[in-house]
Amino acid sequence: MNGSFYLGIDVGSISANLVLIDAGAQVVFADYRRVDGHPLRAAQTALAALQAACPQATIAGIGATGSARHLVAAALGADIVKNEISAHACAAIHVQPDVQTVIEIGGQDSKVTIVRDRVVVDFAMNLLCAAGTGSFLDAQAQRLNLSIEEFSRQAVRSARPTGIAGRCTVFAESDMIHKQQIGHRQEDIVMGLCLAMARNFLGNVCVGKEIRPPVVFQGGVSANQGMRRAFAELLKCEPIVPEHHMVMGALGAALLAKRAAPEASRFRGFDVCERAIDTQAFTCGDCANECEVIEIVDRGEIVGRSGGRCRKWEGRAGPR
Amino acid sequence: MKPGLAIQPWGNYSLALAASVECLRVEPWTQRSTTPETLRLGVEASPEFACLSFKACTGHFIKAAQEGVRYGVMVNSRGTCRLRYYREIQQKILKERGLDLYVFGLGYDGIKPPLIRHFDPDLLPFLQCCARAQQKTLAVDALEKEAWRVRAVERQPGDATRVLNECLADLDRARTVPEIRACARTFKPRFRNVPLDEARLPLRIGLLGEATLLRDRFLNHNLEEILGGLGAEVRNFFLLGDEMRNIFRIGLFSRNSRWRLKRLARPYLEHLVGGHALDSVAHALRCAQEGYDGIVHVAPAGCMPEVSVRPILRRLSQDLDLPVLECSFDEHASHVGVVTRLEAFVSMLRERQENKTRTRK
Amino acid sequence: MRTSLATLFRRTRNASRNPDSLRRPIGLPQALFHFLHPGLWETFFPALGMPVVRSAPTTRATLERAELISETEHCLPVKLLDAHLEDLAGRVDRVFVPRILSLRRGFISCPKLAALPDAVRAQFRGRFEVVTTDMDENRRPLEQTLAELGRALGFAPADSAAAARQALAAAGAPDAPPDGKRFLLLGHPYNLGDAYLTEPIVRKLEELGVAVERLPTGPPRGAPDPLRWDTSAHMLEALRALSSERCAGVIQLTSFNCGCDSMASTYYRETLKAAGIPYMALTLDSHTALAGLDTRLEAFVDSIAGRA
Repeated sequence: MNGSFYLGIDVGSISANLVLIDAGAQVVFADYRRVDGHPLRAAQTALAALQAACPQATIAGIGATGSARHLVAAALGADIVKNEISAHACAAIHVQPDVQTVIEIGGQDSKVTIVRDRVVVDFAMNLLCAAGTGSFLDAQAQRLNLSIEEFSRQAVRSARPTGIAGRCTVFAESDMIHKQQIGHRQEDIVMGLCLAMARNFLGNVCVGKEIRPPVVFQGGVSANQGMRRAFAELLKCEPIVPEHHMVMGALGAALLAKRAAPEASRFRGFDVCERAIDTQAFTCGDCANECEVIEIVDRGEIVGRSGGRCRKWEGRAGPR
Repeated sequence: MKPGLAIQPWGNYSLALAASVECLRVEPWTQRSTTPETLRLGVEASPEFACLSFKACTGHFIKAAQEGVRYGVMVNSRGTCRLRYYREIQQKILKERGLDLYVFGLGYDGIKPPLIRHFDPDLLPFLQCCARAQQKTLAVDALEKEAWRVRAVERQPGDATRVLNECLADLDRARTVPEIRACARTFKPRFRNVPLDEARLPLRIGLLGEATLLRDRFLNHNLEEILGGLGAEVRNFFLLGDEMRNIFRIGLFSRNSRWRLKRLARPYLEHLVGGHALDSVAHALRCAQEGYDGIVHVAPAGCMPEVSVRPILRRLSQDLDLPVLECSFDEHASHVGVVTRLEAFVSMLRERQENKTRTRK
Repeated sequence: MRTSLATLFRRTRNASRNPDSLRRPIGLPQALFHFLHPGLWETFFPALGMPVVRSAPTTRATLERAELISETEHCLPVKLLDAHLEDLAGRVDRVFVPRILSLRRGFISCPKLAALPDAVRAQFRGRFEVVTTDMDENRRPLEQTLAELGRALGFAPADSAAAARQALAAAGAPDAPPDGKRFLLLGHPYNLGDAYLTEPIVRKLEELGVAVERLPTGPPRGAPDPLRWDTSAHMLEALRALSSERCAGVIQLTSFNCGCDSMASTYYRETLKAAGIPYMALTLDSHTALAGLDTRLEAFVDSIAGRA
């Protein structure tokens, strides 16, 4: 493999995604894996998988996104650090240039982004409630004793979806159990859950936003057939699920890195995947907030910091 | 020993509020912002669906009582929103927990507010004290404005905040009106020493909404500094100097008088709602007139007045092409989520700004 | 820009004086303010000669629409109003939404109601006109409000005054409470009045064989002590008048995100505790899980039976 490649990495609370694109913005490698509480380790493993698959690739630039973006950026040496809302929108506009609305539902959060003429004009993110996210669906599938794939298959079969309350996890759960008890079919309950979740998303996150087609639906939850069907029914238009729907955040970060076109990438080399990069926390005592600040330590040297409510530690390397 | 008097934390104004009670021969007890501990105490003690401002303030009084403070003072709003009942419910909560802290209301009943009647200060020290508090408030206002401007273009992140804190410490030490004035005169030169990145074109973002959240940097997740760090010059529309003028009905024709704001908001809102909801609408319109790049509307989750005007702000945002970011906060709000949203908002505004300059060329 | 907007709003405010357009139908949402003065508006507008078009009563679909179109952090009654207004859009070209500021001298209404006409205008612009009037007992009594509204709509002063009198007479007296020991259903009129919301609860209580009285609608009588929100003060007054001999228990219907109840419940609880009357609050929202409500009602009634 020749030429310059751009790497995008999206590490959130549930999954770590990595995408490698070539100079023509084509995806040459994509990786999706669970974080399981260790964002740095997940990023390292993903990087190792990339190295194994494309050992010759020269990395011309790295973009990091996701809620662990600052941590990952410091550890790997990223050229651009971008919030996931912008990264997801960038990827959606890239794959579907006439997109008007981007719906992204991940493990812990959900967002809607309104795009006009390839420019983000408005967005919203779930604020106070986690009911409309992937982990909610996971939990319900588990309760029904279904794998998430089986859950997805069952939803499509439903003929008369059950009405289920969806404002909040607790309510939905108790309502679902009640519906099970009075004898609703499982596939109808499953589809009912999907509809409740989509409705909850449209009511909570999208309120006051003008949802116009084409709608691009991406993020971990977009793999779920039931959710695709639910949005199609509620929005009265078929949402477009892009090929790389699971890793759109990483794709966006890679595209942003390509757009930034750094002269020399800050990438610290593939050997970062083997190094024992460690983190340590300390409590900043400079004000009454007493924030926890995380230091990223590589071979005894502090390569970056993140955390805290004021910005003074963000990205700062070297001794305290 | 002088008795302690707990005063609600109100951002950098806390020091001005503390100065205002000196003549009562009490030791003011306050904090510049809510802390994780006081918020936790407040959340535990408060009704579940009370607003975040109430919970934070209640926690503050509980903490004060635990530290042996015997008195507290709370604004006694005559308004329409929940603020009106804060004092009384807080008093009940303190009593239930066996805490001996009496909260005075700041409202008038009869001729003097009960706080003044209880401590009965002499007239001359009282007036001097009021003058000092007013001077300090105005000094804080001036200081904040400098910090907002400099923070957006500072070369070294954190410089503006550092200078701000140094100035505040000096201001807190200043005792007499001439001292306060002399101190305030040093602010501009001090900020002038901060190295700036002249090439950077700052975005202008208006912050409006509920007063406590706009001012408490813990409750609002340090909105001002995050936006400043992203290269946005913020303008926080809650200025206590203006508010005092409105309360005491002076400066009727000043830019931010109630009367002016009402006239400004009229095409969108024809009546006072309560709290600062009308101010929010009026200031949003002003932001549009003055060419701001965007506004951030800040409110505690479920805030009665501010939530009521959200549909109006949305319409206004569409009519006048002014992006609005709605931020509701409660005790569960995640800091990471707030930062992500602010970053996305700023990058959206940047894109708009670039498009505008491009089309202008 | 500003002036043109201002004139636009003025124009919506004063209906045109053309006699035909005077008698254009007006939409009345069966939500929120409808329950504060039952029967009032349904009588007033027809008495002026304006036909009334009502929104369909609340159903499950209304609740779902409410959740989709209304501001997330609003309470249920305001969300429901939005859904009822949407139902009217397309059926009428004007709707009535008053600005309720006070239902009784010395009191004030929930601040959310003060922004309603403006918020509705903002949300539904282009779909219908909003006819409004300020209802503020601190400034003028209801009869005068009605008469002035009639005149503002272009009707003769005498007709307006007659319609006002007729409407006031029609606003009905409350039902007589059932005899014997009973439960009190407590809540704001717009929660208690909406049959869709209360029906499952009343039915369940009947199933359990207990007598229920709904708190009658009405303004508070005394002075603010300490609650100044009119409907909340009315509720507190009613609770203070209860005795444990007559009242078996109080079930409060509160809506999620109700600002008034979040504060006032402290007083309700305190009052009932002092009187020795059991108290339970049920939170209503657009997804209220009925299974949960049933269980809680049963447990509440059982616990009281056990105590007696």
